[in-house]
Amino acid sequence: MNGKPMSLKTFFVQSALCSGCRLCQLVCSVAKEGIVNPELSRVFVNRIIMDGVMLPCICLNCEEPPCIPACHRKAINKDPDTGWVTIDYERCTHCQLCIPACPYGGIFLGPQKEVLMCDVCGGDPACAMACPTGALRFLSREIGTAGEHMPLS
Amino acid sequence: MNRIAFINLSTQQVMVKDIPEELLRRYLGGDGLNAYLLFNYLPLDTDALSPDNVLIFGAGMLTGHCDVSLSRFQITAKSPETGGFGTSNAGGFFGPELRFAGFQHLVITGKARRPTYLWVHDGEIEFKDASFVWSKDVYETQQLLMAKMSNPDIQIATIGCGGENLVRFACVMHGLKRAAGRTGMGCVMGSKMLKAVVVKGSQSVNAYSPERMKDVFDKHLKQVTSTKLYPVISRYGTLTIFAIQNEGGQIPVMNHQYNYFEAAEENLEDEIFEERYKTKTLACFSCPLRCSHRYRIKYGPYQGVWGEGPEYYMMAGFGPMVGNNQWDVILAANDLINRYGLDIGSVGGYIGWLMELWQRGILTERDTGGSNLKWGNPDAIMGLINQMAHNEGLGGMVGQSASHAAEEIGKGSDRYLYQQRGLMHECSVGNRASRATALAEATTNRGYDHLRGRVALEFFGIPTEALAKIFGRPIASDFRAWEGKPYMAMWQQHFTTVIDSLGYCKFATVWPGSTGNLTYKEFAETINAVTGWDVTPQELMVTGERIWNLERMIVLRETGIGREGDIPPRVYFEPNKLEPLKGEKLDREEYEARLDEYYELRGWNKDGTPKQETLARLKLDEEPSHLI
Repeated sequence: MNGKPMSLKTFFVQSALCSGCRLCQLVCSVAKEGIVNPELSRVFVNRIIMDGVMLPCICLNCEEPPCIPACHRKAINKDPDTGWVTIDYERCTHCQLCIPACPYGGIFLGPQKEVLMCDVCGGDPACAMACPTGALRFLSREIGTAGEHMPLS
Repeated sequence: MNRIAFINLSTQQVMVKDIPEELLRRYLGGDGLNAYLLFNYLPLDTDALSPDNVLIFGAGMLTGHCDVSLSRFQITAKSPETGGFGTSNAGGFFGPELRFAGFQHLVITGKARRPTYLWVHDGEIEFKDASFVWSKDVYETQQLLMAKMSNPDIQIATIGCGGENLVRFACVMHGLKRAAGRTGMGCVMGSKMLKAVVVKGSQSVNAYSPERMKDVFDKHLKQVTSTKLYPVISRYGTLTIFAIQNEGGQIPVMNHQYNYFEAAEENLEDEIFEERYKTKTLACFSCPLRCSHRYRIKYGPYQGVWGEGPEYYMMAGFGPMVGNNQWDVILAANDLINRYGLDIGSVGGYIGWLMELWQRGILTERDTGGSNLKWGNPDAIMGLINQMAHNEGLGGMVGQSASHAAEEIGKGSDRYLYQQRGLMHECSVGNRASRATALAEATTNRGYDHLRGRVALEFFGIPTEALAKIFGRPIASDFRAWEGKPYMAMWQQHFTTVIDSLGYCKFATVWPGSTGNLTYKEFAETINAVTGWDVTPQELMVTGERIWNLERMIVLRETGIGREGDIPPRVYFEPNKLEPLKGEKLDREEYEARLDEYYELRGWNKDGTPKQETLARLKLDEEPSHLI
């Protein structure tokens, strides 16, 4: 536990459960931009159609986020209390260096070449609330969903 | 973002127009506005395979907006299968992507000089050479296009060799299984040398009130995931319907000779599919219901075959309809049909018909080229599908002739061919024991159609008083009784028409009989949040009626067939042979009387044509009005 409170939450992905419906992308763009545009979402489902593989990608709020040293503007911060990693758009120049630094493909480029990164909606992420299958969940870091690979009945 | 692109494949010219708000409100989008565009743009006396035929892709008015299950798009043209109203609907991701690319409708005319695909992206439309994918199957075509464009996230509507070879009932495919199946829209694409329409967009879809839209969405998501249907449909999809239909004695067996298929028991079951074949659960855009499944055949002669689907429709149409009780055969046929891009409804129906002709000795090995068409023979089933797709042999003749195949074969074969308005009867539907459903499906404009006419609420023995609350008048509780059923039939026809025009999936609505699902009230909530209009459920019901009447005008203009097209096939008036529901049938005289009552309710003449005053009431008396 390293003395961290149990309430620290982050995202857990179970791609086996993901149906590829992109409700997460739809509600993200509505929550963040007030419009529908899956390309402006801070979560993205890679739909590998022929193989039937659906892989939701989102910022996983790493313990040691590689995006932070990659950013020359020191625009990315990890909140020491919550553990959430966010972009300070006052500082961000959308130079995109953070995008390849993320090992999980969790930072995205929007249609206007803007860098998009999840801010967990302040702790109540719209995407996880809308996910009908449990493929994308926002849970305590200590519990998570590791080892779960069967569809929920 | 409500724009129409008019695309001429002969001249490679494109013209883009905004849709006037007045027109949107009158016809919404999808099915409704497609019908308007067809009625306004199709020249008189056009052959369905002529370059002048108008092929229309239309996203529903709400498709791609923020609500559950808004994935659907509609394809409309003059039908090469029937010569009448051709229209078909599909889900997946194509419809929303079309909107994100900046268009609600594409109106395609002319004929390309060489195989062509359209590249539709962010308000631009380009004509591209499709030679490298011509003659490739539906899966391969999409893989090659994704590779060519270095983008796995493009959405593609394509034809397989069914459409290329002008099979009259070729469909348009999207993904591995999403199909605009009926009435031969793929054949129209083939006739225009249009292999595919490829879309990708990054444009935003705005709402009049984003806050209200989000609230409405939250409410609707909770609503459709709280029903009794939800855990079932999200696990088995429509396969779960099979046992209900078969054990209820309401499934067509061996070309409608029987109504119950004993051999299916303990073989054709949704649970067996889940255990032995299913590998993945999938969904269309924005849909929590996730009724699609990926499958793979692990053992036996079809080992290694994989695909997506099937639905109840495939299960019944390539199960009981053709006398087959083997899941493997259904799944292998499903894969073949999807790769070729053929309509399951017609293919299953025609194979069932040919097998009955074999049973009766009307067809022999001389006609089939040596093939044995005995019921359930897997080689015959696969062989006929292959022949249809490649235009070879007996299957090829049927594929090219559709219902005129009975004239080619002769020998009284037409007696066993069950079609309406030239459209092969649905291979999975046998409703002679029901009243509202039989009437509503038989009076649909494209031909017998469960997607417009199935009245599921009829089958649950709901008390008359409870039905009265929904329909506003007394309706008999028993599905075999007629009281109130003509009204119920009409109500459902308008309801399904509105669904197809808005872009919802019917399974998120009360259509499958799930009373907790979305209905007019919820549609109005979303429309008003998105547009700022003040639409009421009453207005939407009239909109549905307007579109229905316009579609009837198309049918009458193109075919002149009114009342006679509203009578279901002969078998509907003959008694069921097996329990349950043994002896049940429609009484012809009673049916005709109820048809009169239905016309009366509609404000139509006894010949199935709308009265002038009805057209005036619905603001249809000036059509074609050329408002765009």
